[in-house]
Amino acid sequence: MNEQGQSSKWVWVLLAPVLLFLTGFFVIPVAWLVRLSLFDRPGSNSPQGSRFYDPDTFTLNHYGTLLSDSYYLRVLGGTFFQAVFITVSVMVLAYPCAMLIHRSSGRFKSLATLIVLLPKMTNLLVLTYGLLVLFSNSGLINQTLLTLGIIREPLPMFANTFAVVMAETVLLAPYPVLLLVSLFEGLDPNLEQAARGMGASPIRAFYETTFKLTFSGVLAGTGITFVWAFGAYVGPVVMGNPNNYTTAVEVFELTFSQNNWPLGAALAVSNVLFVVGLLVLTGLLRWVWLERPARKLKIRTGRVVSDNP
Amino acid sequence: MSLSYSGQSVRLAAVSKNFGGTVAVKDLSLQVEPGEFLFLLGPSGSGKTTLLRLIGGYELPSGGTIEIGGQNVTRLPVHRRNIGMVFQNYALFPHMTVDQNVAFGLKMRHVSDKEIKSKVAEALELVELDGLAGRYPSQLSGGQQQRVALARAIVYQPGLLLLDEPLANLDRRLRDNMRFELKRLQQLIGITTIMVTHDQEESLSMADRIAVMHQGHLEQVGTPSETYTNPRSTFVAAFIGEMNVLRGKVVAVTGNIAHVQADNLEFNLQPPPGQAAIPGQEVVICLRAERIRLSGTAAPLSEGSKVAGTIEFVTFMGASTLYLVRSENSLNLLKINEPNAAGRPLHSKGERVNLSWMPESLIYYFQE
Repeated sequence: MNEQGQSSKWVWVLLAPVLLFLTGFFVIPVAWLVRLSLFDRPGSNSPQGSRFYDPDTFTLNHYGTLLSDSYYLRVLGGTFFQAVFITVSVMVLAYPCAMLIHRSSGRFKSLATLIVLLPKMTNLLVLTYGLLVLFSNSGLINQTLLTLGIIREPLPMFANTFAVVMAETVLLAPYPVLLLVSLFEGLDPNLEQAARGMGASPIRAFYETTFKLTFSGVLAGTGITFVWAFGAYVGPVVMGNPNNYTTAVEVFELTFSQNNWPLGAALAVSNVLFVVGLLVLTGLLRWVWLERPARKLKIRTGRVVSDNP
Repeated sequence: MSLSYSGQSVRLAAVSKNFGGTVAVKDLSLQVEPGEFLFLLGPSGSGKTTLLRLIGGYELPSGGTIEIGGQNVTRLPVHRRNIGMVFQNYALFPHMTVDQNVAFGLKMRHVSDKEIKSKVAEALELVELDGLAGRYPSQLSGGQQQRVALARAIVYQPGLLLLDEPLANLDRRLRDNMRFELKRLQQLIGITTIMVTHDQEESLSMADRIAVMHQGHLEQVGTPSETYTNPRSTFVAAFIGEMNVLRGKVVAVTGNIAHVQADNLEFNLQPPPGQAAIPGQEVVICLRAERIRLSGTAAPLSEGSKVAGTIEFVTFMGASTLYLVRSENSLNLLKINEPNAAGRPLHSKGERVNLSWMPESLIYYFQE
């Protein structure tokens, strides 16, 4: 008991720096953002020092604007579907890629891991402009195909949703790949073989063991990828057209271009609420589908018997 | 009992397997009878696990043919061979309960739910695990996991059961119990079983026949007592049991008796039929540690050949004591395994003793 109290004290000591950091650089700014979204922008004759908002005007108008103005709803919808495309593209690529890295060995494995990590070691803007050079009408791909006479007109690979999805896939894929590789590495390689021995075809054996055991990683990877894709900024701005602009781009526009900090804050807060709401919803669905049946099984298990006291 | 088994024969003809440049199994032929419990025994790297995987279809042979139950399965993929396999680490599915694990093979065979239920229950009863059906593997002890792996491999009534060192991960006492239980179960259901082990004691106590493997080929195939009393090569002799191996030369031949000097000990040996001894010929002499009797110098000499020596090392092992004795003028130590009997005191280090053995207990090989 005493020992436990002692160790839990140490846990708090060890957690303190992280908690302090999160409070100072996450909780307080977000709380400030929420507060900011509940006031009007300052009038032209407002005093110095309160240039973000007018503290005398408590209001919910900004949220009203966001919900009633179809423009913002369109941006939100566009951001959502673009994020879905990006997430699907990333996960379809990440799963086989992670499996390849897991099954390879030696120098090839290190090389493959390095290739996956490379985008993360490059400056975000440099990388995206590099993709622009590759995809634009006068870019490497189009020019090569034109020179070879395979196409007459440049392919529309730039300033559209395709370009945004490609760019964001390159930027986001490393996270789920690394997550899935670590899951694959933890699997017992004999499981699939055991399934085959009991009469499962190679595909069935893979599905029943490896896939089912890494499915939680697929869900987690999908979750983090979606969150990042939803908050995408650089990809849509550099590779897309104004129709691809996400809520993140819109927040920047409102705050820095139009100097409307309260409305920008309201959009940012709505964004956070929307994503958190989605995650909670998928979490609930997951619990209903996956956890509940397992719980039922656990309940009907008998007493604890052990031949290893 | 609805779980009935028709043990199937296995025939390997000139089977070989290369991995890149290394030869794991070379030109190996072996016949396993229906219902037989055959052991593949050998040190690590001898190719025994590769051979088991070849029979199971987990590896395809580089040459030769494999037949199970008279059917040529050389190129048949694993899932069509109807075999049961138990892995050394059991490879239980961690996301499935015990009954789901056991039901897996039946599900793959599209057996009806009702039949699955009764067969799973019966298999769990066979391995004495009824009552744990709803547990997950992580909630079971090593011994229980081992039983699940076994139940899972036999529930769909395969023609052949393959076991890859299934007892290696259990602690000593549990392993001894499982030996007995595995043997009992195998005899009860009569399934043809091939088990890989590096533990010679395990194979001696459980096998109908032992196939001793060394460097990818079979050194000897025979019953436990055959391989123990009549090892066909120095390798088998040294691998099974605690053995003193002495290398020497024929110094003289009188009639059909060769006088051999090995490590300053003298032996009079009769060459095996069809082989003549020539002076200078190399001879390997094997003498089991438990075949040497040890007595104090004062005690009356027992029968057989004798030599005197000094005890240099004593290891008490409970049922018996292992002595290392340096015989007179000898460079090597002789291992002697002496049973501990009530009222007989242990000999101590530095004590002068007499060693004796019956000439029949010598196993020897004249170099061709």
